[in-house]
Amino acid sequence: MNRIEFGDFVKQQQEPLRRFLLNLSGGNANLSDDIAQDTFIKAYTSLSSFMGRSKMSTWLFKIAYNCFYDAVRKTALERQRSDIPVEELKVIRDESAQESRFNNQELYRALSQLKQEEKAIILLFYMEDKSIKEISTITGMNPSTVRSHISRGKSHLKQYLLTNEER
Amino acid sequence: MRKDKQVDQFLKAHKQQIDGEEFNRKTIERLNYYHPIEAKKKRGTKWIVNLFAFICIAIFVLSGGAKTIFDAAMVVFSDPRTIHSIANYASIFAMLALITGGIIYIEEMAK
Repeated sequence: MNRIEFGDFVKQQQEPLRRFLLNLSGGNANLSDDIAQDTFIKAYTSLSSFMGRSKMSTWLFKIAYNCFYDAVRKTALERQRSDIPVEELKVIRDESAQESRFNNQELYRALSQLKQEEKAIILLFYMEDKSIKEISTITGMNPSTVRSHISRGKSHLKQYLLTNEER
Repeated sequence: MRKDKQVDQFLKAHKQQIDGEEFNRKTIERLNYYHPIEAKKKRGTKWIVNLFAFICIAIFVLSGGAKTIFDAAMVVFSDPRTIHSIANYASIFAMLALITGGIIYIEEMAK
């Protein structure tokens, strides 16, 4: 695959990938776009390691998933190293999120009810229409673990939707 | 696995349409500064595999394994009526396995 062909692949895949990262980051568009761009660069530079065992889009999502959790881990480490109290950091994080889009608050609020793994798997399964096998490849979890995360995430979301309907 | 209707409807209703013009331009522009990295050949482990393969074959030949298989195969092929003994069957299977293993090994090394 040459650069032009990869450019077409970027055009084709940017929307689902950016949407997944945007929702995973709770609506932080700057962060999700940075990770999406790094994902494409990483995929391009390591094209030779793509074995063709899965779809190329699945491989791309796997890279993005790892990049996202690397960023999360890095933030957590920085938080540990700094002397800033956790409460203050929460404010800083919230401020940076405020810069991003706020037109999907209902969705982000609902997704915030889920644990990180549940959120990623629910988004892949329901929003991006990925199969259990694809999700298993992306996350590196067993298909049975994926199924149980979907089941738990679904009941958490349903509970949230039910409570919101009642209000 | 079936999708839950309520959850599916909620998430699909909030599925965002994201404009990619600016993102595509920036990403493709950035791609100009990078090149795909060529796959590295695993030379580091290749000599270890070769060494162990050589040692195994040498031990096998020196302990008379090859001669036993060869003799048994010769008996079987010289007189097909002798294919009733389990030892003869085993020698044929062992020989076929060795040939297959050898072919796979050579193909793997050629990659």
